[in-house]
Amino acid sequence: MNYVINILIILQIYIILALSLNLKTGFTGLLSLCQAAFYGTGAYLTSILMVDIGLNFFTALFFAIIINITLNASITTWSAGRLRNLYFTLGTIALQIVFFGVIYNWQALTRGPFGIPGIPKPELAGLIFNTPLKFFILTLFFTASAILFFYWFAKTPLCKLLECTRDDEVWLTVLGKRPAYYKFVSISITVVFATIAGALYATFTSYIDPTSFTLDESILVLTIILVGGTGNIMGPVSGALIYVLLPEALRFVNMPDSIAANARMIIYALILIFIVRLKPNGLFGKFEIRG
Amino acid sequence: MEELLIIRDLNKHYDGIIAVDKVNFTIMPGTITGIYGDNGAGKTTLFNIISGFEKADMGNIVFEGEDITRKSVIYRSRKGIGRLFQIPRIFSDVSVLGNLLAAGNNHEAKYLHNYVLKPAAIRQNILKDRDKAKNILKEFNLTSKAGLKAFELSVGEKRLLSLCSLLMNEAKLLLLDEPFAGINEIAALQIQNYLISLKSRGMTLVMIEHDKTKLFELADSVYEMKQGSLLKKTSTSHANY
Ligand SMILES: Nc1ncnc2c1ncn2[C@@H]1O[C@H](COP(=O)(O)OP(=O)(O)OP(=O)(O)O)[C@@H](O)[C@H]1O
Ligand SMILES: [Mg+2]
Repeated sequence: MNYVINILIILQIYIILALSLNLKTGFTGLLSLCQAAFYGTGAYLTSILMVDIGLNFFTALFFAIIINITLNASITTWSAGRLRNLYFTLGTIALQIVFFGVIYNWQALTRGPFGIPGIPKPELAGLIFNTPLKFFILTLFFTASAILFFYWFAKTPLCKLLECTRDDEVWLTVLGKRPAYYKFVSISITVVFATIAGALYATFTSYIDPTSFTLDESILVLTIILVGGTGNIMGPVSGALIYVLLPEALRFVNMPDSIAANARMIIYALILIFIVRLKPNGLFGKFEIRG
Repeated sequence: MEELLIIRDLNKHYDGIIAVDKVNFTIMPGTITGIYGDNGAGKTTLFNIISGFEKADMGNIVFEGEDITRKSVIYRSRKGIGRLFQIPRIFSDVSVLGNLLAAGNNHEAKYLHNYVLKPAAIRQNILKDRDKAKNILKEFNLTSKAGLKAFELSVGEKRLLSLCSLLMNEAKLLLLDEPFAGINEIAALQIQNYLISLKSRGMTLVMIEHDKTKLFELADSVYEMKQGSLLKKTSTSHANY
């Protein structure tokens, strides 16, 4: 039972990560490979604030969000103003690599490759989320909030303007609107939810180290939204479902664990290829995967 | 009546090429001004300078009495300078109605914090903007296309859509770069009628167009652009062709 609950917690963390990246990439057209840096910054900040300063989870999360926006959202917005399309994507890869370098080498703060152990469980008014079921409920609260938020946000005029930023920035300025502001809004909201995912991940596993926040992880979250489809809410959710539940499905056909891990990546890659070929919008997507 | 736009001694060169050469002209509100000229004469460059996409080397641009020579595209747009491009610009993956709503001046809804601070004002503005957008679509015969993605429209309809977007944005001066290019005669005639009706509503238009006959028909004053210089033409001189 705990095993199933743990999988559902991981699933929800990926749903939040995918929904968050989808706003930036699907709606705003900023193809990014730095989601693990946003997520990792959130995980590290929350952990450091909880372990070294002794803050409560929710207070730590609040400050982690503020710091993460100040750092990552402003750097990314700045580079989005100067770099276009694939050059922007390269910029996000650079950010991702710099982030990894920092957490790996700034040992005084992050303990480098040794990671941060003993991250306490979240606590709210005396209730400690220290069993899988309790933690699941906490995660469900954040996931449901994320889904509701993005459903609501997708309908606002502001979200339309993010889509317009994606489609034609020049035309947007002719209409008197400032693309840089919409990019900042989009990236900041992405950072907020990535921070939440990171904080949940860190307190769920009680231990984080740099290997969870690599470029590979960023590529993974991007493929999740490409498989599911970008620009709507169903897409990222279904992409995360496929990615997280696939190895469980493989277990049903009696594939040994040692093979299943690799088979997952191969099958996932095959699905990706088929989707690009047959359903270029992803399973539920509004937009084609195209250059 | 006071001039809407005054251009004084405008100069622009690209290494070696003089694109705009000491251009002077004024535009009165509620008029149509036509500009024709050979390819590369500098017509689009002149529009780029007026709308703020290019900086002039010398000269001044005064709009409604304010010197806007050094202002940004966004500032000029908010003052009321609207501009159509040779190839129509649209938000292609957004619906036709969505294009207009995005162009509107729903000031509150543009800022994230207002969704917390002024949700009522936003709701009200959304309703107002929808009505306004629907009226514009009706006027330009695009009502049946309101739900389509903008990329699904024909070239002529895309141009109408960007024109509608400028109206939604409450532009006072419309700079139209070859509004009849690349569309069939019927669609061109339709656009022409819309432009005339815009003028009768007090809108001011400046239009680049290769077809001189059309310009003399439509415009109150006509200029020829020749190697960067702007020369005033009168309809009588046209009769001599
Ligand atoms: N960004 C630029 N850099 C260098 N030269 C330019 C640039 N933009 C325009 N030019 C040059 O300036 C001159 C005027 O170009 P412009 O596009 O204004 O002409 P036009 O009258 O609009 O022509 P057309 O009828 O073909 O649209 C041309 O010689 C063009 O090559
Ligand atoms: Mg031109």
